[in-house]
Amino acid sequence: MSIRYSRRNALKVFGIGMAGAWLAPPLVLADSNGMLKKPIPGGDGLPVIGLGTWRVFNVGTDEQLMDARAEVVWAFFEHGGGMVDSSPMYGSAPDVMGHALDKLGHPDNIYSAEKVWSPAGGSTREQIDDLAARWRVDRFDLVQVHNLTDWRDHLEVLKQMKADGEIRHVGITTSHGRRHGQFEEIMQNHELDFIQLTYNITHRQVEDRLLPMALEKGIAVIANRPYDGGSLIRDLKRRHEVPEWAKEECGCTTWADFLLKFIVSHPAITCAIPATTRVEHLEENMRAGHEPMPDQDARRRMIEHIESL
Amino acid sequence: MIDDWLSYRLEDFIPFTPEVYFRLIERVNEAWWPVQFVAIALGLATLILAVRGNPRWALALLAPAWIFSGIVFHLQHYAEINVAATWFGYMFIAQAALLLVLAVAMGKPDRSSRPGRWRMSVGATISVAGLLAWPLISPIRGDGWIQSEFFALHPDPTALATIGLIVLCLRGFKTGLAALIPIIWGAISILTLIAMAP
Repeated sequence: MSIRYSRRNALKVFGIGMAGAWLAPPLVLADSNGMLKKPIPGGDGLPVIGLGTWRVFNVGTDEQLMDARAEVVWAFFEHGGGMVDSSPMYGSAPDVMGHALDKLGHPDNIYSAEKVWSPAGGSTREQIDDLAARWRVDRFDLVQVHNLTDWRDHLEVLKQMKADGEIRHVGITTSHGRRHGQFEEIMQNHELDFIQLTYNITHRQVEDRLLPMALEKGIAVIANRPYDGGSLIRDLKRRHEVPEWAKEECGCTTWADFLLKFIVSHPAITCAIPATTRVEHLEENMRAGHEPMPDQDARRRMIEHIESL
Repeated sequence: MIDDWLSYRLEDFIPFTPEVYFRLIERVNEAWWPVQFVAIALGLATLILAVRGNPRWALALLAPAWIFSGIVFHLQHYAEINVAATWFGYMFIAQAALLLVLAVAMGKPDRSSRPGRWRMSVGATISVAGLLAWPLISPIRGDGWIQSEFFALHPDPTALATIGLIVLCLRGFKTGLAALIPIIWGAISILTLIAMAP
């Protein structure tokens, strides 16, 4: 599926005001199984629910657990998933992805996202080659500079690799709200396709500057830590029921719906990347990528509700 | 930069899930079965030597337990999911070397080598807890013997039993010196378990 995406479109969305964008984001489309997609640079649509691998895919060489994670990956693609995000900092996660793709074949809808990290020292290509061998893919769709480590060196090489067609997209990442000033500066002065940052219902600092700038510049945004490392959804599931009004207004039947729909309904957010070890949790996550989505009023009520707990 | 560090939580330093950690314990048991019996026998022999006032041989017998646990648990298995485990492995091998040095530097055993009453009761209790009680935790918790942790294979009971044996075998600053790494490991292990707690 192809969606026209341009800076003009992004500016248009931004220009008519955030309020209008909440109500009917014009660039959102659903694929055949109902999973919503948002546009990314280059014209494709990316499913709004991705798959994170931090902690959960680091299983060493344990074949039993590698097979269990392959089942999660299989369910992810079965339910219309696209982006899988990993990092050389995530232990054996890239190897586990390679194992899963070996077992599954390579789904057409995969969007592979990796990272490079410190030390750069001319090792950017080497890092990417090593990771591609571990994933058993020919090339990555997206390579990001992990937590801005040695970002100048890495970014220069990544831009060249993109120009040479060796990778499709280039991005930078941060998490836990760190180094936002520097992040903004890089967004302002460099041509980026993606940024990845922490955004969830209890961590919304990026709404002030980074998300509006991403929207303005046509940069796709990946939201990491959608469940705040798992503690947010764990506590909610343990102690509270999903409010009735959220079920009626935006189809939130589970806390996964509530938390993920809040994130991906922000007009600047392209996708969220919850991580899980269990297929039933994966299925919960994937359902959150379907209509209906909360409008601006519902999002405000969601925030107030969480703050009242 | 300091703000960056303060923004980290304990669990941010743990790059794996509890499921993977407890599978690691299982995998070590599966790979080395039935060495667990040999390990417990070695530990009990060490305890008997210490109680009978032969600290030199007790410390010397303790060293292989640290080497084995350092190599098998940390370097061969744990390092697959935690880069820090390589350093833990070296730390365990360093502890083995220290125990051997202390054993070699020790004179021949005499009457004064036998631990006094309080050392005997404290040291023996801690050692027995590490050698015999620790492996029972998993079956009591309902996770079965497969997740039991054993002296000389898994690091926690190795460190605990060692602290007891050090109380039995050493005096003065040597006690603190020899107990330093086991105590450091104990702290690391407790923090790991706290970070993994649901």
